[in-house]
Amino acid sequence: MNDRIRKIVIAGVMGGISIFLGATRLGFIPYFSGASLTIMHVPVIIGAVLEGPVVGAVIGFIFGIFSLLQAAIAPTGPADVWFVNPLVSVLPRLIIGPIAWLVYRGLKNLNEVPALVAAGIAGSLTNTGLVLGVLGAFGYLPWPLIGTIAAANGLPEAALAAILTYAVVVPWKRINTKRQGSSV
Amino acid sequence: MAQRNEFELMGKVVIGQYIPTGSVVHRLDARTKLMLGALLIVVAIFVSSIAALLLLFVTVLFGLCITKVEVKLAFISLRRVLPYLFVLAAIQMLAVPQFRLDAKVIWEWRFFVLTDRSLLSGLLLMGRFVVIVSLLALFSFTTSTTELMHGVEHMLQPLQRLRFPAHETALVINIAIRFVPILMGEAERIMRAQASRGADFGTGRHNFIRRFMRMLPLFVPLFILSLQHAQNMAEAMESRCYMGGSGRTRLIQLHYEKQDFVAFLIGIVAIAGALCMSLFKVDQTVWKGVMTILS
Amino acid sequence: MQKKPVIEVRKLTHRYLAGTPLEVQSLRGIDFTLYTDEIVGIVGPTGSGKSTFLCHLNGLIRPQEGDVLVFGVSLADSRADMRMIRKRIGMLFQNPEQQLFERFAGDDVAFGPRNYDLSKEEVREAVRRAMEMVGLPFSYKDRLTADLSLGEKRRLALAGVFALDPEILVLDEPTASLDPEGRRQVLEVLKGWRREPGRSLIVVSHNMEDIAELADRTYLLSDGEVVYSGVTGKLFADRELLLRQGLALTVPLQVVHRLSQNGISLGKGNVSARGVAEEIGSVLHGSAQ
Repeated sequence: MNDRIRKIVIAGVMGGISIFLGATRLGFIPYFSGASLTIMHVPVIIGAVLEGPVVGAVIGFIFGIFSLLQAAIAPTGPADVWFVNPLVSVLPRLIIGPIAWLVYRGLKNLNEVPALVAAGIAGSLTNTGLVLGVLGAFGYLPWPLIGTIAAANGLPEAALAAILTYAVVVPWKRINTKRQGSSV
Repeated sequence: MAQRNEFELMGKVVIGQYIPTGSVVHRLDARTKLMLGALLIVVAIFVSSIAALLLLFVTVLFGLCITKVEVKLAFISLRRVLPYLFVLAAIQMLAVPQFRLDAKVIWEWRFFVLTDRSLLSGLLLMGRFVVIVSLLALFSFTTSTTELMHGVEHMLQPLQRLRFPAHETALVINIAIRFVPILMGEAERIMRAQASRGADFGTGRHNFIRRFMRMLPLFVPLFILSLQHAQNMAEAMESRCYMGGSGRTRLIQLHYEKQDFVAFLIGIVAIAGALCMSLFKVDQTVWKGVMTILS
Repeated sequence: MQKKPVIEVRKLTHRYLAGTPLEVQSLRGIDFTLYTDEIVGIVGPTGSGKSTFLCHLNGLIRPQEGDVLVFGVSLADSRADMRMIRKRIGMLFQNPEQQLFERFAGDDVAFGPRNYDLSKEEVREAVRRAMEMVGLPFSYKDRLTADLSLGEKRRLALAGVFALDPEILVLDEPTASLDPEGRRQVLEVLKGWRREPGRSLIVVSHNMEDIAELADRTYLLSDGEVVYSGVTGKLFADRELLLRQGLALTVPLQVVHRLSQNGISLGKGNVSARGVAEEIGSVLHGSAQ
């Protein structure tokens, strides 16, 4: 019972964070002229790592629906035109959580810290890959352009996701790392 | 105002307006609106006929007109996106190679090729966008979040028997939505505190990683605080003997009324019409007609 | 000896959501001065504008109308160097332990100095000094922040502000949620800090005992206006004013009041517990002063 309640609440709270990051634009980190990297999928990854694939999928669902609503009601950029299609905005996001969880579970027994970082990277790349994949399948963009975007945007985003996942989960779960004290 | 106050967040959020005017649409059961809305969106995505989209759009427009809300409001956001919409449609029409296979070329220049298939897909892109946006505007004008929550919960209820956690899902969404204003307050507090110690949250550094690290003093406390809130909430729920969704009774009961059936009827007719237009290739006939008139 | 004003606020006015139908007036023409080497208290019921006012002092909110002068620099001037201002005015908000984000305690204290590009040795020295000032051993720097008690976290947050060596300290509810021991420690730290010349302190609090113990002068804010400003003792003597504003009387003051109702006047205008106790002592021993 305790387990179930905790999963519900974490899913809700992380979903809320994802919505918050999108609504306030804080989740958009400025990159190059105009383009930005997002971290709105990181609550999905963190939720999945902490509570499992189902929770991850639920948070992903919330993230997806919200990005659809935002694209339709308060669009801010060209990509919002595509995100109005739930197959672009919702479907790929359902998968981020389970994949991040799988990676984390797989590597956890070796060493927890790289497992976290890998989960962050994997989750982020899933987001980039699947969203762009759907765009390509629908013919919204030519494939070569998709490849460029995947590399130019997807890789840095994966780095940010890894950093944030580490920075949040390590203190929260009191994981011991090599650092034994402050750097002062 | 952005120049004067560095860390005020509350003003920046736009999630869509609930405008209570008491019209028929407002009084529709939340479930009706949800189901029709979802159906219309799905149909809009899967038809490949401009005529069909037009029919759907007209239906939504009709809905907007009877809400007694200024119809213009629905299209404010559309206006802002218009340039992007055209650019994206243009990309799809001219630069995506997939639509060049067995298609009739209409126009060509360097490596940009406009075929009948790509023209259609570009127009479909724009059409779908317009339909979905206006539909969601209609929805957000006429449904408050509480109504929405009740509707979702009710609809998922029968799935409870198939061991799908309907109540839990609705609860999760509820928590998420209510948590957002709390987060705004916390974020503002955290930013003020860190700024008072000289933090600059990544304004104007070159390296994007460096810039992101400068935002960690905001993000990390925010996440950790939220996880703590979650823990407190879970303890509170447990101490109140929350047992999950099976067998729960409800305080507010939803009932279908006459207007719901009318709405369903209109919706079904529109969807059927759209599907027919798509299946029977009404587009082609109209296109041929136009072509013959022009020549 | 003319004391220098370090902060001057003139006719400060602020409206939230100005220009929208939801506009709310939060500050109405506030005048306020802070001199060096003093402690000023700010009291008032919730919603009186205290927090909004504080945010003006280090430029988190820029003056809409009126002016805020800090060390002679006008904060209404868009060219004002906010970075330097925030180094010279240290501000600690309510429940500051919620802003601690570094895994190790020492790193969080070092956050401020690192933002100002001090060298590694300077940072270390600043952190050591700051932690000593709040009574935390320097060895705590390697402890996990999460493992500290509430009182220790509160003092750690305070150390984070001390690490920048400010000349003015502004605190919002510094003793909220602390047990009596924690509260005593914080008050001792503040008084000790203020004894160094050239420093001044502003304390906002609902806890009237804290104000009585710390503040030389006090401002009473109500509904965005300054309703009283002057010597703390005089404010506390005005029982009706305090009650009208919904502020609690401190226990020593209640004792003074009851005694005067029974014909025993203590008249020296002391407000702190110790002062009142001493007066009672001297009355009991029959020495009239």
